Amino acid sequence: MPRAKFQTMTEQMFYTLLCLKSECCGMDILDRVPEMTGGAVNVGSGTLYTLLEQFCAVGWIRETRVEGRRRSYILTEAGREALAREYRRIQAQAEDYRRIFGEEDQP
Amino acid sequence: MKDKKRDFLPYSLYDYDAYTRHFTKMARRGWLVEGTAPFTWVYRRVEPKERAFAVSYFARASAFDPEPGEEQREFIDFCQRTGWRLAATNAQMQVFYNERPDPIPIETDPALEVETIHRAAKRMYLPLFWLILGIGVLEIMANRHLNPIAFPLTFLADGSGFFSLAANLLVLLYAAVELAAYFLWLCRARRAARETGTLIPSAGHRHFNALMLILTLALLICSLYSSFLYGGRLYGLVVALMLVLMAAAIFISWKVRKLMMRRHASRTATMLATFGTAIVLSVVMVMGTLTVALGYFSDDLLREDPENLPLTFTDLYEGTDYQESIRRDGSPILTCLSVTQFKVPGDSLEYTLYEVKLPFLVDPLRNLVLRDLEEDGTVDGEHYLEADSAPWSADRAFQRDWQGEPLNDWLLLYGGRIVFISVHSDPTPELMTTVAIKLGGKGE
Repeated sequence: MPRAKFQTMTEQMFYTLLCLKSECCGMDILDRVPEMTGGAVNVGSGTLYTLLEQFCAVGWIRETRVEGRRRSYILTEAGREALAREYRRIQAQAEDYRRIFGEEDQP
Repeated sequence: MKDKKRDFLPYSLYDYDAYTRHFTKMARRGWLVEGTAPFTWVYRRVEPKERAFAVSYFARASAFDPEPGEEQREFIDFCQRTGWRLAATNAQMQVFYNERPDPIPIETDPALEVETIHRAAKRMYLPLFWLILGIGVLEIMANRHLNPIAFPLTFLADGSGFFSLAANLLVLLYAAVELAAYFLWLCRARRAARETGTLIPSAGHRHFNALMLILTLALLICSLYSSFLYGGRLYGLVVALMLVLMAAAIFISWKVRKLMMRRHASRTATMLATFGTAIVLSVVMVMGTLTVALGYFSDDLLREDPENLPLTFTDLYEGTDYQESIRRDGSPILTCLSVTQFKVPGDSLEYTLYEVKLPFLVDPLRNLVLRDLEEDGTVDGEHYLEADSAPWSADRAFQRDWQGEPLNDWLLLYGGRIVFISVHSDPTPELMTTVAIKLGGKGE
């Protein structure tokens, strides 16, 4: 997948990267994302498998350990920057909302 | 009570909706998909209940792997974590089922899912259909003699060739539609995923696929029937044998693949053994066909009883120690008898008798021949000039001409009979009368 596709992250990409702040394996991510979001976001197993492959390919995460078929990953500096960029984008959107509707009209 | 069941699904590889719906329905009836056999899916009996099914694609999987590789196992482990259990695989296609209520789908990102399907399609499905398309075009080019415009009589009288050509065209159409439909779906699915974040249904063309398959089989059966009916029983048997050998080649190759996989041979070794078997068997079949086609056995196989011939060497010339070659062919529209009888050195007789079998097609077919003669003076690629038909008692007579030199080759029209005849020397009145009686049916 071309890098341009990651310019705007989906929720699933965002939370997958967030989980990898500390080292964990794919199966842990499947459990952690719904826990982290109160069940609002779920990552399908096939989708997660593809995401991990693609994040590795663009250097946003790296493999740290292989135990049998369990591979562990951790966020790289490039991944951290991508995540921060996405955070700033979401934050800018939230600020735009506040500017238009004001603090009192929070949903 | 049966514990196994098989069915044939005329679905395209990417038609995951159709597969999912079918496997769900089968599981509800107590049949869980567990694998594939040549052309079919295999099911085992289970307790009938509601199970969710998902068809996923793993591009690095192969139909030649003895068992899932490490990466594929990791993918299967991921799926198991969310309750999805692997039911069956067919190369890159992975069929999972889940007994939990409202399970999390395996694919939750439509854009990634479309690309995953496309990656898998590029591995085998697309190359296979490009190959079918290429072979189809080559076969049609190789059978250029079956050209209804340039050689209408040859085309209409070659029943088995006509049906084989029609079957080839259908296979070509099937491959073209399959590829066009896939790329159309891919474009629409990519756009929908990008613009609306949804995955559009896989909307295959399963009814078209089923229709193509039925028509192709029907045409092959017609081709076989035509070979038996018009080409003679032994020729039909040769064609039937070829079809049986083709089926056997597919079955034996599949068995070799299964054997190699059971022995845990590598992907490469299994591929080599499977394709090697298919190629060797195909070469044996092609050699067999060529042997027959080149006529090594054709005289024995296709020998006719000369007493059944309407006109023989002895009707026109002295002596019985002549050599001969006889061929019959035909279709429900037109039959064809080609006879060559000759002495070396000495007289010779060569004729081809076409007989129109359907009365209402007599005039259109005669007109077809006459139209060609009037347009450019040729029939089936040979040049003819109109001649006096009275001595032959024919409706019309034409003499073949080679660079202005008249030859002793004649085209004679007698009602529903079209006769091409070549004689050794200038035809005598007696010879022409005999031909009119024997081939033109004038004495009947």
